[in-house]
Amino acid sequence: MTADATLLRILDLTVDLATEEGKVRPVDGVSLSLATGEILGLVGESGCGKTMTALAIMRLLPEPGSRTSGAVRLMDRDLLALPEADMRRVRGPSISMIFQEPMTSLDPVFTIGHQLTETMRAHHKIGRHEARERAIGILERVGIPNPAQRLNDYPHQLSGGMRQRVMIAIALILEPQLLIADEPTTALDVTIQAQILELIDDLRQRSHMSVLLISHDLAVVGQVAERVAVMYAGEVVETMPTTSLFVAPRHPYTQGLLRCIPGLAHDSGATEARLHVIEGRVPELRNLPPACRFAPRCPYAMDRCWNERPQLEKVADEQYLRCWNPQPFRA
Amino acid sequence: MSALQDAALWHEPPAPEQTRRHQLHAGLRLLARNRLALIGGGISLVFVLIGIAGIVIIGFDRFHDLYLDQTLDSAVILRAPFTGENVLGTDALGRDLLARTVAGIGVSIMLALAITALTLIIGMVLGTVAAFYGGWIDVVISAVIDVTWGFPIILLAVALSGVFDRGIEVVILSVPLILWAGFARIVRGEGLSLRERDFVKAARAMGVPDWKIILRHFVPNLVAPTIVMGTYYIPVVIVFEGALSFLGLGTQPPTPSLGLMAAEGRQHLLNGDHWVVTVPGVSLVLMVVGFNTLGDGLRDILDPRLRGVR
Amino acid sequence: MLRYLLWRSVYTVAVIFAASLVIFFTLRISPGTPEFIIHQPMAAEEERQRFREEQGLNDPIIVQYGNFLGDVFRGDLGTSIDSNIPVVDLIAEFGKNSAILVAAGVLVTFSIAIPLGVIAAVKRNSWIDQTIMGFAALGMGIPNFILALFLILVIGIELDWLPISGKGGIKHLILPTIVLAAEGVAVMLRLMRASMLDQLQQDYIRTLRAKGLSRWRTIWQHALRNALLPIISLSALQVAALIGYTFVVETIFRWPGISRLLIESILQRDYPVALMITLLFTIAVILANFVANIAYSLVDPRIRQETMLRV
Repeated sequence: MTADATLLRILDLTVDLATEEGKVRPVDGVSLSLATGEILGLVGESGCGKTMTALAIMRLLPEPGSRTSGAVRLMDRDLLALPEADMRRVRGPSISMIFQEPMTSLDPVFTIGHQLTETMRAHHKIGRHEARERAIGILERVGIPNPAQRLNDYPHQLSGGMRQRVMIAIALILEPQLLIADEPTTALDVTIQAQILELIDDLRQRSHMSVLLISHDLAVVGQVAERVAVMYAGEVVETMPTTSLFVAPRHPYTQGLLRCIPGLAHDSGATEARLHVIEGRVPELRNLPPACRFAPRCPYAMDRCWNERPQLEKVADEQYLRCWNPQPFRA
Repeated sequence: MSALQDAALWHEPPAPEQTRRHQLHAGLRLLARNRLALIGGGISLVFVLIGIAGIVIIGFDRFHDLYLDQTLDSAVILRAPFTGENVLGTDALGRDLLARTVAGIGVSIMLALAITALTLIIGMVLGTVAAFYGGWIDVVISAVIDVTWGFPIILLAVALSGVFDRGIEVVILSVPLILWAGFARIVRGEGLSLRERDFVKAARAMGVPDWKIILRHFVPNLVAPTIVMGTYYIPVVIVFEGALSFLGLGTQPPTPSLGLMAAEGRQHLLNGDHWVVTVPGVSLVLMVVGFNTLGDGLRDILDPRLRGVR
Repeated sequence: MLRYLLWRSVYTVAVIFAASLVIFFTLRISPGTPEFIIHQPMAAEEERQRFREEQGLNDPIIVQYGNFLGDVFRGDLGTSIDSNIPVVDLIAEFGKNSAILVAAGVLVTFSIAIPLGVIAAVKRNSWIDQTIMGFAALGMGIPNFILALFLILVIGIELDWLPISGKGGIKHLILPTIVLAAEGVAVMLRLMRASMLDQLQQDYIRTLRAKGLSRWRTIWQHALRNALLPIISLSALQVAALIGYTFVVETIFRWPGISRLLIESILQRDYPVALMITLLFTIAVILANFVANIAYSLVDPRIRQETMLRV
């Protein structure tokens, strides 16, 4: 992939939040880039800063109380430097986002049709009739049966899977360059999960859109993403092509996550059928370990891991790692 | 692919000053909430003490400051504050305004406490019964709550003045007859949600009598709403007693009542003798704001869910 | 939905009947029944007896109630004992004045409380919010009769800007309306703010922002519409409260309204007038509840469907 095909480039993105208990930094120096038409998976346990990263890209962090620094470049524009009025025009036509709660992410008192058409009308001059036609078209594309009738439905009349499809329809109707999908399948049951993932992948291929797919579930990301970035406690700890993910992960945390996937342990010939868990828990943001943030939970932690902060370094082609003591992978 | 070539850039540590300022902010906000309760509690306490003094004055009114005219022979009966021996002046009948205001506060507080207690008891009993006995009892009580809640007290009071003679009885009767519904609604809601809890279901299944469950598990849950709603009802009753007395339907002369004093003073406004109204009026406002503030503060501390309920 | 409407209507009519029964009996057992007023206690027994016979006061009370209902349905609301004017005419004349006042009060309450509540929520914890909430605290803390007296003193007498009593042009309406609306504005504003704060935290707000809707539309179209739902059912309480406040306002500003008429008729023991007005007010309160319930279920699509399924 060539550098000029890069659609989104995040540089040293840092988010500071003021909470009741004091100030925390849920995203700390995250750098990522995303090529046109690429799906990048962003993985980590809940609370690791994935959603915060996404909201920071969209500039939708709670205000006041949050401060974002670094740079988020979409093509040649730094989104963090845009005036709010311009940023509003980025949301929707350039970047759109779907959220993990399909049950509550739609406005309950407006019809599906209204919520679709208002999206178009917020950005383009478009007639009522044409907007309606396009709304029906997009609902059809995301696989909603009887789209013309669904337009008059209220969100509560649809199932969770259907609502998530509507969410995707709203996000895609302006044909954005980038879709941020934050745990798009977490609230859905397994069969519908697969459908939604297929849908996203399919739409991406047809419209040449890039996708930032956020999930805590490596299996989900492994299905569709081309590259994976693993986050831990606000930092990116490892990034690699998905092809390497299941064979050559180097970071003990990534390896731990992989062993948590039920089917995978068997596939790769592991003798113990027991499901692995990573000992300990994600550190509190107010009380982070001094050097490597994973050190307290890491079975391979050395003195150096406690004293010196590891940096993200290239370890293989397209694979970057933040670890002092990388391990060869045994599933 | 150069995804992370710029990764791992060093960034500045957070400016310590910013952090401290934010912590200070959070701390101040917590304090401000408590301060609400503190200020309100302080004002309320002062008025309760004044009220006690007022009751004492009424009891010892040997000097006829309150009821009888001191200075019938004097040419100027109505005296402005700070002009004579009466610190806050006198009313049209030459009665000492300070003494009457203090006594009026006493009447207000005494009535408010008694009526609030009555309201809370009715609400608690009916709400509990509705929640724990269910069935048609609940249906009936809920229907009555439905109709009663929000019914204008003053309308009931006016109608009751046709039945009883005008006077304090009307106040004592009409307020609890309406206000209980709001509290019963809360109590019933608490009771219903408690009944769904596993340990209560288990206790009932094992045959533990309802009154035991109510005493052990339910009553402790009611302490916070009782305190919060109680502090809300007190100013409501005070205002209501004032308004009804102002209309001539509540406390009857010569008993000192802030509302009545304001009504009596109205005609003197035109002559510029405003203190006959302002002295009892300002006292009433301060007292009500004090109790309201205390109520808000207590609610924030004890039971944020009651926000907006009244 | 239709069945829900029907069920609600039946319930409301039943409640109105129950209320009329309670009111009728309560006023009937009052010590000062009319004959004591018309006829001095010294009046001849025969004369009093004749009066009781005439008014049907000797019948069993349940028969009296039946007669009363019959009269009402025939459109005969009785005649004032005091002035001999038919109660219908009295209610029509005084009621019109009160209706003007209440309508102005409702209008002012909602058109001030809703926008201010939204602004306070959007700008929460800022000085704007604190100023608005400060005024709300004041509005709730100052009893309306005291507020009325202060306004009369300052605006009516000291500044001499507005008339302080009686009915006349728009000018006469201003002070009474302010007093009538003050507490309602404060209460509604607080409710609106709380409701709005609740909505602004919802997930759908984020969705709307993510698709590039302006803050203005997000707040004033989407969040506001959702935030109004719980307010609608509480607005019936507000109308009831407003009716309560008219007693004070009409008395202080000598507004020739129906509340003042009720107080006077009660004091005069003008029993037919008192009965009818009390009944009228009660029905108004019950109907306000009815309307709020229906409006609530009409506006919220979720309830709309739920009630369709349930009933």
